Amino acid sequence: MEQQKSNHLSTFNFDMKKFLLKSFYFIVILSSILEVTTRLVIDPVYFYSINPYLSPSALTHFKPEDLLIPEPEHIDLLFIGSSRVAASIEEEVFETNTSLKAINTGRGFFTGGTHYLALQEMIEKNPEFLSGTKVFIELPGGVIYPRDSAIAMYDVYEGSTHFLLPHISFKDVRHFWESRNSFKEKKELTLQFFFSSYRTYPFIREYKSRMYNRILSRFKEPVKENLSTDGGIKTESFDLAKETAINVAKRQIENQRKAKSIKIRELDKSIIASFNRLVRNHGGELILFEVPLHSIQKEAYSTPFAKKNKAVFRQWADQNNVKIVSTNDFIVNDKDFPDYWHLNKEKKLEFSRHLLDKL
Amino acid sequence: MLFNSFQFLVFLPVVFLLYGLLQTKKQQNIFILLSSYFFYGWWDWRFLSLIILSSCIDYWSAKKMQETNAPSARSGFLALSMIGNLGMLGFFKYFNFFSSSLQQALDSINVSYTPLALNIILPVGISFYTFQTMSYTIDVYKKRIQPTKDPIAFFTYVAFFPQLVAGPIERAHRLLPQFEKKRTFDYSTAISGAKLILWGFFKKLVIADNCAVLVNAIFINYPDKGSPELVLGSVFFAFQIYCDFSGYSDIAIGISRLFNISLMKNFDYPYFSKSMGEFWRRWHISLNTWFRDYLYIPLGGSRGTKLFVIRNIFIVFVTSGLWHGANWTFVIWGVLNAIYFLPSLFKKNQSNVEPNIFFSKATNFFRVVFTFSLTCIAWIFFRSATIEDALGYFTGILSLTPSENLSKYFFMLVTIVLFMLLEWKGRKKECPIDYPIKNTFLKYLYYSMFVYIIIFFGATEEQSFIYFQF
Repeated sequence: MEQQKSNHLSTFNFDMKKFLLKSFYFIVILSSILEVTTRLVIDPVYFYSINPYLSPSALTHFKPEDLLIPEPEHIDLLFIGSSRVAASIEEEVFETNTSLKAINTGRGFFTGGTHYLALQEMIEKNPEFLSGTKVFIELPGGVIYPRDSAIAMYDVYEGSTHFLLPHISFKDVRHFWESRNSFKEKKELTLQFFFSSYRTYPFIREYKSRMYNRILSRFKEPVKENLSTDGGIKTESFDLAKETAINVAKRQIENQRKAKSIKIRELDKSIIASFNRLVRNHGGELILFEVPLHSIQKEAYSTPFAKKNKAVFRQWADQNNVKIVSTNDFIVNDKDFPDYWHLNKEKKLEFSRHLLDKL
Repeated sequence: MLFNSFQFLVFLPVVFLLYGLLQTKKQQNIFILLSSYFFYGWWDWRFLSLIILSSCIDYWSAKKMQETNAPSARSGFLALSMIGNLGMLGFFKYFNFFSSSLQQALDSINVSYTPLALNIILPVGISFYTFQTMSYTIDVYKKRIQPTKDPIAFFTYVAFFPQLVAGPIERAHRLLPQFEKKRTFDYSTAISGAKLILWGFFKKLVIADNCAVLVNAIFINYPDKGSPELVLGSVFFAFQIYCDFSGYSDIAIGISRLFNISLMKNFDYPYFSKSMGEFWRRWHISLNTWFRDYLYIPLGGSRGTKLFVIRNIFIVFVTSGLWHGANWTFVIWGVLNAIYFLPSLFKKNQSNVEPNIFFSKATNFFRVVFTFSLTCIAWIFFRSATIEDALGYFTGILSLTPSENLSKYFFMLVTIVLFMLLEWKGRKKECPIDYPIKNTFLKYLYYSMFVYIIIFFGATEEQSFIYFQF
């Protein structure tokens, strides 16, 4: 009878409850320690490093002393854009020749929306931030999406949700769920926003690799410079870089085929118009400028569709007193783009001087 | 489904919790069986037909063997089981190999032959479950065990998911009775299992997968590498394969313990062996004892003339090589190990495995280093894609050309040294990281440290377990 009874008892006995409870405690303690440590120790460095408005070089050349300047300084020249801007503008050229404070916030995988949120956040924290500042934005190339800026400001590139983190609040997370991003990106941003250990995990691993390299370089065998450390595409293979550049250009041309031509009045609601309002309302001036392009990208930006869009855009800029600085006369060759995308260091200095002369 | 995948992270807790709700042995076995088929079918559901077919053949053959006393009929049923299992294994694993080898052989005597090459996918873990199920029919034939009357228990024995694709290769007399009775959860068994799981993941993700990145780079570009780098490549591979496979075994044993199922030990700190004979008693124990019981002893074992014993040793090691893969590199690996093994065979007063007296003399240390070096030489054949590559690799080592930028291997070497120290310190225990800490919080902290190391220092790319391909 006893035997029969025990045969019909579930495996879920006292021991199993104890095991599950202990496993739960273990996971809670493990995650809590991780979460508290990353919040206290890693977060400040992390947020600082992914915010180009505080430290444009932190992501690639972070030093602990960078943290000693936590408040934003007033700046005179602010460059905004993609990694092409990061690779084309040397702040020192402007600072030494004009004694004006310049900052280059160009960063790969930053959308216009992310830049807008970042700038807005800087102004909220320091209202004088833009007073008298000339804000330079990379002239849009192929497709110019006339999207409502209220939605477009939450647009992110795949796998780049973390760039939004320093500039958003809980309210923005809610808006992000209404944006056009994929479910994966929405889930990522939410987890990154709420869990420090989740957002800082890849950062710690990347930082660990850098520390390895730094230690190894002390063995008198310097780490070989590569495309990645030069701030280029995240690959060390030139073939892969070329393939990526070609594929992106193809995708841009494909997107142009699908997109509708913009109308001038649609641009009033776009992110660029929001930038213009934000900058002007806070005493600054918006200037658009062309960055040097590799022939692969130039081709994508020179299709009849792109040319037509650009013409409409120039019209809009004229009507809204937004200056466009043309740099067409800057002589550049494909070999000046080692990763088929970004200018090399020598040309970066040359282009910065060229742009300065134009202003 | 890989153990180191997100899917498995969901699968295991769900299976474990649901299993806890079951009340009878039958329910437990049906649930484990369905979960195992789900686990296996995750790779390719078509593979399921093979495992089900193999289980059916062996269950039926063993049952029929029991029902008859006629030796010829019993032999017939055994032959049916052997043909069924080895036929499947031979077709899926060796067809293309033998076909292309035949072509090469005929080419050498100027006979034209176009090999029939079939586009065959090798089912994951076929070598493991085939051997496991074959051991059942052989044992029934030899009357070592009685055939089971419970088909569900037998099918669960063949397909039990923790050890289905890469072992340990269990014997029916050990594992089957565990499925023939109801299991109740045992706290201390589950805790010891959880520790083994942690240690297994540590070995797999921190050591094996990090070594894999370096090993792949060295073996693919071996003509451009200097001698020191090539030597390091073989050492890293020795640790990659050890940590990969023993890591898998530890995870498998650990997971089984959560279900209160005991699996056999598969590795016993093999790199602390002082001779090749000892190495083979500590490496892949479940396979080596299988070959001992089902091939070496039936061949005559060590009874007979020296030449006869040498023949048996070579047959076992060459078969073991072929079991690992359908490639001549594995055959050479087997031959090399047979040669290495011979001195142990004829040495009188063989030392037993006594890990606590290791390194008591300096000579022991050198014997361990020497044994490890021999295994590294053999591993080069195991890892190389072709014999030409392996010979090229050796030529590279012997060329004594210098290597540039060796410092990139510094961290991996430090990690391996720390790992070996950890194993050395815990060599008397089943799980070297198992330390009795009374304070609960400190205990959690101690084991958390290994989780953090896995999270932050483990390789990020999901690498399959090497032995899945066998």
